[in-house]
Amino acid sequence: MWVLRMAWRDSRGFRQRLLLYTSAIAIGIAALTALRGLSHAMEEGVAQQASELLGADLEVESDLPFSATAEALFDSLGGRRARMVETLSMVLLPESGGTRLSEVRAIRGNWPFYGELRSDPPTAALSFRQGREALVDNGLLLQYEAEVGDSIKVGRVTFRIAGRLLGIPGETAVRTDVRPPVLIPYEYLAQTELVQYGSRIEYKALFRFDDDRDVQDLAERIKERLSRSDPDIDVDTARDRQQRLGRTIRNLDRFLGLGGFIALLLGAVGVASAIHAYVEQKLESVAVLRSLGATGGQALRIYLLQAGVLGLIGSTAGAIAGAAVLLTLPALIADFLPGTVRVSPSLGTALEGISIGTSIALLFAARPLLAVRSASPLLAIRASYESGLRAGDRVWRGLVVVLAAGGAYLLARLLAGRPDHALFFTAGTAVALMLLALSAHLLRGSVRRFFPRSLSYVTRQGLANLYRPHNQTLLLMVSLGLGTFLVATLYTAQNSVLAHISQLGGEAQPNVVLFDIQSDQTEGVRQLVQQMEMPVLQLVPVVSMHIGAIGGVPVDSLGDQGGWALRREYRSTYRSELADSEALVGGTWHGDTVQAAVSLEAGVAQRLGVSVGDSLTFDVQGMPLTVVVGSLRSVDWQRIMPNFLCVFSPGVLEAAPQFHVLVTRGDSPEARALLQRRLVEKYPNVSAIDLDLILRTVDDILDRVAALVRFMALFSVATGVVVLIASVSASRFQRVRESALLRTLGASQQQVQRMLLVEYAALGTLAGLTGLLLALGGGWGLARFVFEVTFAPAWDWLAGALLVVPLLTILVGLFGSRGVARVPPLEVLRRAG
Amino acid sequence: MTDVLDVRDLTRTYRSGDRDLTVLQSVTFRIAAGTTSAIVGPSGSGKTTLLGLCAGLDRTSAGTVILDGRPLEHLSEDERALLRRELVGFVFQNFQLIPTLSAVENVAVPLELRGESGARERAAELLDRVGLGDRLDHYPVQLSGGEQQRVGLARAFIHRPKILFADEPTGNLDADTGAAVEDLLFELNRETGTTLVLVTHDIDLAGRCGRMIRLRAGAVVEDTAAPAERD
Repeated sequence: MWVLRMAWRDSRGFRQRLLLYTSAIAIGIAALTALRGLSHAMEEGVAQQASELLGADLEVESDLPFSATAEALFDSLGGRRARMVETLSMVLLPESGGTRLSEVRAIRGNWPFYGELRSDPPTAALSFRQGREALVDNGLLLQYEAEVGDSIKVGRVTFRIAGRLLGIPGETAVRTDVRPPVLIPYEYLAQTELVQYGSRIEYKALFRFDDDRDVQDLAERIKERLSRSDPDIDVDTARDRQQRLGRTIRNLDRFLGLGGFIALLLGAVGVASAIHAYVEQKLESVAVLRSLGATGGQALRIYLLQAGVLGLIGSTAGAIAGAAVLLTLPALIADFLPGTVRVSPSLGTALEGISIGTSIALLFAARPLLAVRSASPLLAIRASYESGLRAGDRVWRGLVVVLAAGGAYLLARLLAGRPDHALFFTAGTAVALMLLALSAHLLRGSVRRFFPRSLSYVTRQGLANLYRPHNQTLLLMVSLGLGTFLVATLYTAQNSVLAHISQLGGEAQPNVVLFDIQSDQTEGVRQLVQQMEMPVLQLVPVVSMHIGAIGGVPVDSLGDQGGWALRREYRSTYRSELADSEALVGGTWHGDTVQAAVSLEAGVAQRLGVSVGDSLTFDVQGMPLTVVVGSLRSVDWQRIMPNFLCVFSPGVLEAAPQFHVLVTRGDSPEARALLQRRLVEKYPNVSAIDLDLILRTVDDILDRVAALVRFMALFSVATGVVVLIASVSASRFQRVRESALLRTLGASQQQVQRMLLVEYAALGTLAGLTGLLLALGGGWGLARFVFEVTFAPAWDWLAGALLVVPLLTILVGLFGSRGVARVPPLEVLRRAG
Repeated sequence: MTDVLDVRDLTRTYRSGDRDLTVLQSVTFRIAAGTTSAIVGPSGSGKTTLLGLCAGLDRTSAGTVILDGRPLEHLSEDERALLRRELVGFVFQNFQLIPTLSAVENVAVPLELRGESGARERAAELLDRVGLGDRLDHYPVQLSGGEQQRVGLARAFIHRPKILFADEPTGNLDADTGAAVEDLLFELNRETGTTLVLVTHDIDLAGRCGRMIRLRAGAVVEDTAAPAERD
């Protein structure tokens, strides 16, 4: 009871400042509760909208037209049915002359059965099916400034644009960015002539069953029944889709969780340092209480109680703010998830946030508070007495540090879900914090060691503040540095990726790829390209196939060996020469030999567990083909040109269904656009990808990801600013006293202010510089190992950041110290006496 | 008369850099209950250290301090705190009022620590007794030095301690205010029958005590006690 009363009384005069400390934890909790709320909403949303994800209960998909057996089976299933044929193709908007690779979908029936196609005008989603009309992705229309009522040429047929397609159930904005969908009625598909021998088509049969049959079971049975007649099919149910989406959500969740984790830990570091400063001012009062007979435990409880209440208030405020933030979040992730996510703040999440925040505040306050427990009562009679830690307290201190680390791990565990990820989070953050702390230490040491004695008195005083007792160097370096590091790493990595893609088109490098060229069109297309005065850099055949058996053992009996490499579709070619981008790393290149041989890319060979001399059986669209692995190649994938995992010797695949790919280079965007327009007119089934399109698409997607990361970095920076304000105000007491003494000795107010300016400028510059240097390392690592591109930092942006961070520090620092230089010295000195 | 404080062969050394600094050396004296004693000596002679050790604020390097029959050296820091709570009152040179507590709250702390009820009422009475009845809810910064030390005296006497240690109680006050505080100290001491041990430079103040122990360089060089009291 006395402890409670003392805790309340003792906080008098400090409450305002203590509340400021709490905002550090509040921001972390706001981030945490908002992100947790979002992840709950995503899970619920996916469960509720499961059937909308597919737009049907069941989807059967194949790369080949369905067999008669399959058609008969579909007829016997009952329920409502729809058909869809999808292919990638160039479309032409005649009004503007624009061409773009699009996903053409020919639809029959009332798909989607669940959810709806969103269109403008809304009636267009249904009406386009009635005539020669198309529903066209809004992004595509905007790109070429086309309007409803204009026309669009798909293959050989020109359609009237019935409306803008705004959304398809189960599909994300990111996906439609990459390949904008164009929906046409099924009956015009044949006339478009897009379906050709060898072109890549997906056939889909979609079902809705209004009885309560077991769809999952049905899917299994269909797969089994059609395994002979249609070995290529894939059967998907809404639940499968939901599970796959669940994985995406968990990844997103983990990513968001990391943001919340960092913001909260930064807040915790802020609380720890604020409490440290607070305790330093309280030690004398503690000593008096101790000399009057209070035990160390009682004194500790007074301040633990204060820290707990602080944590509680901060977390509650954070939980409330988090609920508000939550409402703005769906817009940020909308592009990555199909359907809509409806968020509503929940009491459970709020309570969870409050208990997490309070515990973290207590755990991180405990270490600095131990000073209270070991404060010697001698301080009451000897101001200069320094009480060292007692042996027992050392044990306590170790214990508290372990507890805090354990708390951080548990938090990460809650956010990441998996123990190994949690460990990675905790260890990763610890390493980043330690690196920043180490940099702070080194910088502090070097300023001290190489102190610029020739500078003016004011500058020297300001710089000396960096290493004097009660300095804020470590705290600010860590909080500001971490924020800068996060944002800059992200930006540097993004810039590297974009720079890499732009370089791909540089100097005589190929920058346009034409594919889906039929064998009888190769000469025509080649001539067309040459007429445009563009070089034919490569013209290669492509044959689609799967692996049927390794060393005579069928794939089905191989279990999980090989993973994706075993089950993927291989688009292969045949030729007698090695390409520029390839190098032989094993075996003998087949050259012109007549023996049926294949050359594998070394990585995929390793994955499959095969080496030179082994036999491989491929399933070439139904036909088995057995060849010997003759050689292994390494491939440089970083070029805009067709590269292949499997290259066959000539004389094996010539008769197989195939299409051709032509690689060329157009120097100007206009030339490339003209080529594509001519192609669409003459060979509508031929598709083109050009560098501009890739650049635009990647940039767009990176932008969306960046928005999300920036949002999380914002929390980190906001916490950094609050920690900065809190730490400035924590040391204010000390500052006021110093300023009074300096002014008593004759310093002017202006001089005192300039010292503060120098100190914060130095801190901001050093923190920014450290964060940016670490970001260069982080960005380099991401570029090198994750994106596998050349590291290309955005120097102008980094230089800008190096200006902004110190400016922000100076602003906040001076704001927090306002009035310090104006308190009358006498007042301060009397108080101190 | 029983002894309330028994100091035997007390030595205290501090580590200073790489050598030991002896602040007190073989100090021995006994103090009988209800008496008044002054410890005097020049700056650095070890007066405050001696006071701190007698009150159990610090540990001895050698020798024994027995407070009300209980040797302090075997007690933990917290056990010594509990002993202080029961037996000891303190008056500090720089008053040492807790800045966030009002006058009456400061005075009530010792009783509250003992868990006694009616602490605030008794604190208010005592503040009235020291002439601050109208300043109960003022905070230390709102009081003059003399007023602060009167609050300090009230706090020191409120739980009627067996022994009261005063460290230069008038050292931070002007002559007139100091004299008034001195008078009050001795009055309260008489009223409560407390044993008083004070540390001072002020020979006049020391002269008002029944006994004077003079320290120089950490050793007792003079003790005015009757021979019977000395050993």
